[in-house]
Amino acid sequence: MTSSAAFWCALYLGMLLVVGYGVVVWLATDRSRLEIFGQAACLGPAVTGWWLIAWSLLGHAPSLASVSALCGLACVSLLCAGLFRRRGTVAPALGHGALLWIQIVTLLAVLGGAGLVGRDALIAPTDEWDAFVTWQLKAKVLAIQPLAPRPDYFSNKNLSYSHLRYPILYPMICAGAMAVIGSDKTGLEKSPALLLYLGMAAAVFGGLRRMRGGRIACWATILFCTLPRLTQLGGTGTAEMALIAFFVCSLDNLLLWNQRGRSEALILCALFCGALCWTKNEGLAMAAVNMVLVFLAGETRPLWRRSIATAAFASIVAAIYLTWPIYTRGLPRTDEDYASLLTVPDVVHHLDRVPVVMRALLAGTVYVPHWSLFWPTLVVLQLFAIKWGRNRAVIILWSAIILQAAVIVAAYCVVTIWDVKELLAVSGDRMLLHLTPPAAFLIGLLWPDRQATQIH
Amino acid sequence: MASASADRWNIGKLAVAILILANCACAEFFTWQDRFVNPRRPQEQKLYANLDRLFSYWCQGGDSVFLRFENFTGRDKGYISTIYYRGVFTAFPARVLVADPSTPLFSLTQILDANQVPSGQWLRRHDVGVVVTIRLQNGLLLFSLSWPRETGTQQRSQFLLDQSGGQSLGHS
Repeated sequence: MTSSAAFWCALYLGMLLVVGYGVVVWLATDRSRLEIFGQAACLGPAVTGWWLIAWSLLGHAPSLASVSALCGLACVSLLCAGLFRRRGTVAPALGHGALLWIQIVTLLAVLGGAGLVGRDALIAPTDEWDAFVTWQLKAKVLAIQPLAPRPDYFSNKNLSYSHLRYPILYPMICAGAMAVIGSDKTGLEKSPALLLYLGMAAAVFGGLRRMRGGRIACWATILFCTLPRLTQLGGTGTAEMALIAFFVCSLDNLLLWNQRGRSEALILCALFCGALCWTKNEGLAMAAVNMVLVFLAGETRPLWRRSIATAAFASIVAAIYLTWPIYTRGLPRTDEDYASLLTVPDVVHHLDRVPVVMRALLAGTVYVPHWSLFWPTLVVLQLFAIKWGRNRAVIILWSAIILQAAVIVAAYCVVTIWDVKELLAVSGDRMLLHLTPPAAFLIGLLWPDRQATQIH
Repeated sequence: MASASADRWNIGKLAVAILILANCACAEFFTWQDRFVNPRRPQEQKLYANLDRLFSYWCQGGDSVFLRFENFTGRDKGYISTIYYRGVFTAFPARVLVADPSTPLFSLTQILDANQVPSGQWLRRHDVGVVVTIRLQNGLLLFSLSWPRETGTQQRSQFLLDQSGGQSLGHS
């Protein structure tokens, strides 16, 4: 990496962060600085991606000028916020503050993870199979050709293996990096993954510190951010890092909505769910699960208020996402046509796959080289914290895991055209990775603490 | 009594801290091992680097490249999708073809079924500048090149890659 490439890369990541702050500053007024950083670092890439997609639909490929224009708007937004917005009162963190040595260990663990993700994102070439077959190939297409007129890529049936209809938010974020850094600096287009990793770590820590105090937040953040599969896949150029970061932030906002009932948190949650839908097809399922959870979260509020909140949430997500199904409506359907496989005979025919899939996923959770002791820790903590089984936040998070797992099992059992054992071998770990964000928050919530036994 | 309880609590906290740190160290170790010790990765990286070099060279004029696979059997068939997918990624916006663009290619079987010798007219219609025939011989990947636009279809060049993706063994 030359110093010039490093400069442009740092500039692009800085612009993504500024864009994130430009939005979050209006919607996260009552959070700690760290939590706001986490939300901004994850929302910035998503908003930049949407902006570039909008420009691309108008016939302009991503460019330094278009990213700079958005950054300029974000600066105006920050200026206006400084002048007119009243900062909310940040609620004091609960429980213990973390001791200095625990804070240092947490920082080292997160920096260690960031080093591994950063190495892949900044230095290593794109050599992860999924990355060059699908995500970074799309990024190259989007960096060169605008979405209107529709590039040949989307109708080239030879390239069906790259999933022509997959959503394009993460490739567009990478295409933005190519436009700013230079498309000849191969490898650096994966750099947004580093920002997303840091944002995700800050969001988990900030959210848990708000709910359980600094010490517990430290332990849970260490466990989550050093997950081997996360640091192994995070910077390789696939969309996993973006998906996990958006899911973490959506859950953080969902829990805040549950805790304080602030509509700003609900709007931010919906924005992240919109980003999930634009990132991967699995993100659609995550957004749907979150919608159910928004309804569950308002348990103590009147039914009409919960219904309105859920409808508003769904409307925001739909308004963000609907462009993509409309754009891809006329494209040839040459890859997995999931909808056509959802027939009663097909479902019945494939029911014998359920035990195979369940066994494989459960066995995967204790595979230490991928998950270290993350999943066993969750189970042990839950066993010791049965008395908190009726806590609303715990119920919400377990519901997220169970509903998401049900969708994964259903996808493997019913709608895949591949041999299920073969498919589980190559993708089972990613599916488990998608369950880690709610599990990370659960670990924090269930962590025993003598003084701060109340979960908020 | 209270002191004993506090001691137990402190020992418990210490145990948890040690467990977390051990977990953290084990996570970092496995990721490090995956990146730097796993013997498959350097082989893959070498293969990809060599393929990148070859495809960049073949497509530098912007013409399409047609790949013809011969003599791949059993597990070695996996090379077909690897070479094709990597070629498409590296060469873009130039096109890498293995079949008519109207044929959906979603799996190795589909690539193999569709990978037929094209006619000269077809090659001209799709702007193919180079036809690369790839064979597996004695554990070596052999790339034979021909340029259909020049005096018919003549073999001009050969590149050899060992299967581990190591150095290009030579060309003539």
